[in-house]
Amino acid sequence: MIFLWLGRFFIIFSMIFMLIGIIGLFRFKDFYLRILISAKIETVGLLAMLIGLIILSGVSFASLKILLIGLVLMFTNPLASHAIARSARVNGYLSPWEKIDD
Amino acid sequence: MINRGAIKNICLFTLIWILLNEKLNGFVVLSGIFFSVISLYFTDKVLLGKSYSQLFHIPFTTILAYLIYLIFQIFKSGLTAIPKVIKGDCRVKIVDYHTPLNSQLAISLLANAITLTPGTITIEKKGNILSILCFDDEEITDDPELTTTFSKYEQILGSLKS
Repeated sequence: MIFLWLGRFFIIFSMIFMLIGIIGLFRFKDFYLRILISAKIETVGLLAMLIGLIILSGVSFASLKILLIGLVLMFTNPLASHAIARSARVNGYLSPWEKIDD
Repeated sequence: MINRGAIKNICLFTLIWILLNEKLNGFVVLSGIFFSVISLYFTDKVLLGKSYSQLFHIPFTTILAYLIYLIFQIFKSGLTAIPKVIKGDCRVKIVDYHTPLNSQLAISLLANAITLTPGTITIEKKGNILSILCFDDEEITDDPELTTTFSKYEQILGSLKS
C-alpha cells in the first residue's frame, strides 16, 4: 500500500513539475531562459515519472527496463540541450541582457 | 584481444540482452554473448580502432557514486529553480569554468552532469575550459573551492584516466 502511494506521489510530483516548466516556457521570452527551463522539465519531470513507474511496477522485468531507459536518458538527454544552446551561441544569438551590456 | 575489461563488458551487454528479451534460458544467454562479442569486436575494429574497454573504462564504484550524486543534485536544483519560474524575473549569463580534471572522458561526464543539473547547460568545451549557461544568481567561478557542486563531481571523476 505504501509503495502504491509513493509511486503516485512521484508521478504527481513530476506532473506538477512539468506544468511549472510549461508555464515558464510561456512566461519567458528569451531563448536561453527557455532552453534552461525545458532542460529542467526533461530531467526532473522525466526522472520523477520513471521513479514513480518503477515503484508501481515492483520487482519485475518492466521496472528493470524502465531503469535502463532512465540510465540511457541520463547519458543522452543533455546532448540535445547542449547542441541547441551551442548552435544558438555559435550563430551569434545574444540574450537581451547581453545586448543591453554591449 | 580479450582482456578483463572486455569480459566485464560482454557480461554487462548480455545482461541487458536478457533484460530486453524478458527470458532467461540457454538460447537467450548464448545469443546475448554472441551479439555482445560481435558488437564489441566491430566497435574496437571499425569505430574506434582501439580497445573500447580500455578507452572508456569507468570503475563501477565511480559510476555508482556519480549517478547517486547526480540524481540528488537534479532534484535539489530542480526544487530551487521553481521559485525563479514562478516569480519570472530571471536573467542568464555565460561563465567560463576551468576544471582541474585531465581525462577527456571525465571532463565529458562533468559537462554531461552540468547539463543535467537544472539551471545550468554546458555550451562549449575547449580542453579544460567549459562555457556554462546558467541563471544570473548562480555562484559559478573559476575557483573549485567556491563552486562546491562541481568540485564534488570532480572528486568523484578524479580517478578516471585519459
